[in-house]
Amino acid sequence: MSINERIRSWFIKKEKIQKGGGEKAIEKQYKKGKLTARDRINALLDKDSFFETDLFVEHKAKEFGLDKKTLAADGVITGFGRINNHKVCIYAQDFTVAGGSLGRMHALKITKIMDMAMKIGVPVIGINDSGGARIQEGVDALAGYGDIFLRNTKASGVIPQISVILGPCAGGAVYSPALTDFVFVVRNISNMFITGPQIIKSVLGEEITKEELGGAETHFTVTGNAHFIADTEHDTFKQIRKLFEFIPPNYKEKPPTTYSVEPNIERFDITSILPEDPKKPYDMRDVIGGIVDKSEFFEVQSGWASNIIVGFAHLDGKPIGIVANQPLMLAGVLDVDSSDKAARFVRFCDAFNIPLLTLVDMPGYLPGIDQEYAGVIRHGAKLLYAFSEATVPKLTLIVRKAYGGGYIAMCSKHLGADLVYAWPTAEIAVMGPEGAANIIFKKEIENSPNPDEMRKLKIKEYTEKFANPYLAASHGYVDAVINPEETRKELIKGLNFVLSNKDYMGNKKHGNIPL
Amino acid sequence: MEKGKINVDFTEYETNIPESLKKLRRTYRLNKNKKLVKAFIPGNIKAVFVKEGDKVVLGQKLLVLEAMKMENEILAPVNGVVKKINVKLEDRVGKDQILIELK
Repeated sequence: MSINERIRSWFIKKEKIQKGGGEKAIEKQYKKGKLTARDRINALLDKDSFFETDLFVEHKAKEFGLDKKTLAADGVITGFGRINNHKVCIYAQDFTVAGGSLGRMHALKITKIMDMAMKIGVPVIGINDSGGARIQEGVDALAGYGDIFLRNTKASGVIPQISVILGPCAGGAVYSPALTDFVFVVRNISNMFITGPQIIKSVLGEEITKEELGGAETHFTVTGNAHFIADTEHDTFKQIRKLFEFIPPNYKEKPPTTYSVEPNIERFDITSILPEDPKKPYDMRDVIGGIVDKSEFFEVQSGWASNIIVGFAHLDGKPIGIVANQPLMLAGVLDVDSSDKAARFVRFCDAFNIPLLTLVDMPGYLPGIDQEYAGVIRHGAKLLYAFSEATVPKLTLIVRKAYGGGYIAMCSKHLGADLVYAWPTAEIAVMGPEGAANIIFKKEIENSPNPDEMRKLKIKEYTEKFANPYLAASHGYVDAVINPEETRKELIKGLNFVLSNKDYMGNKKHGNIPL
Repeated sequence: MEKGKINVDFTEYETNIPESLKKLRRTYRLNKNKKLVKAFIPGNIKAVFVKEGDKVVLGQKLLVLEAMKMENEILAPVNGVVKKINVKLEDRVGKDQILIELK
């Protein structure tokens, strides 16, 4: 074979493999409203930045006639490239090739690129679109999944890991996304479940559509498995590119900084946000908007456990993670789901050197048999654990109510906050005035000729004495009571000072967070 | 989601209540009436060992509920008399469905 012939043959081989499952299969993929694996990589990465690895990998399966079949690139495209000029490793399962099914070599390609990501210290993005294990390969397919889960776990806290669900992702396959840091889903395209609707019907006799069982909306609002939702694949890629504004490439590096830009508001007026009656709700996102750069907040898991808000923003050009109670939903109480949501987010920020800002306004934990039975003790403990463990700079602003156990849990001074700020509207106490007065002055109220009047009087007394930030401040639990109008300025001063925080957890294998 | 109030430590707060919470609250209703024998899992009735009017003692086998390829023996939760049997052989039952009423 002449050199020219060799080059020609290389080109023909490459062209053929790059067509994936062939034109018919590609057309089918488009008809479902889905892009192909290659389209997806090109749409997500910076133009012409993709470098493909392992294009010529082939499966080695012998059973069930697979030995007579070749599967283009073994059903997955792997390589690396850039997003907003940040380096990333990426893989995308190709549904047009044997339904994107995972076999031994398919998995090997994925683990190779994950190993590369860890070695180079860059994030890894996995685009999932697969019918599941390649049944013909039997236990080898399971071995492949296991190898990926092991990498996911070893990479956890080393490099950011992102999963994009752009098709089915069922059975054991769902555990890879579940082990990663962020899961992106698209309406009417994404599907995730352990057991599908057919099995549920045959075993349990219950009928449910796959969209209801494990569609994008379900995971975004019911299960909390998905962090971001979009209407189209292109929208989901935009969200991923946005996320890269806040995250560093690995745990040894700081997140990228940018220019400081003032919020998009003329004047920060809390009287227009906070109602006079502390028992009335308001939208905590208005407070966030008044503090952060460009008033821009990139919310994570906005559809689930919305009594707590978590997400990213910039403060003075530096990425921060925000955890905030949302009085608009369930009065901002902590409960099973909101504790899980916040704890997981805090741990991500801590792992990747993103400072935390906690905004507090909550009356305590959600009361109820359901909560107690669901293990609110164990779940609530996660948030305490996560904040205590976090060694990144931690700023806390007490906006309004900080009562009881919730006060401690919301990154109080006691859990290691570097700076605790309070507005003059803060109420830091063991519980709300009504509850406290009922307990402390029980006898006086009962013995009074006019109990209702007495109760009101005692509530008023308690409110004046305790429903403020000054008692906590007098004990040194609050570092500064500030003018709300100067919140941004004061937070920036504090952040820039504590940014060089050298806090360190000490040497141990790992902690044992309540799970 | 709808507007509502929640009570924390004797204080009512105005806020919004998500639909999911209300559903959750319903599923966690306490089962105080031990005389109602319910299916703890959806499945099929594979055997019924008692008939109405039978005297039963705590721990006595009442029926077999097959679910997830496993035959589960359903035992009497208290001493009593079988008042009513709501299922028959090969019936498919849902979770929390009342199978037998004791008195």
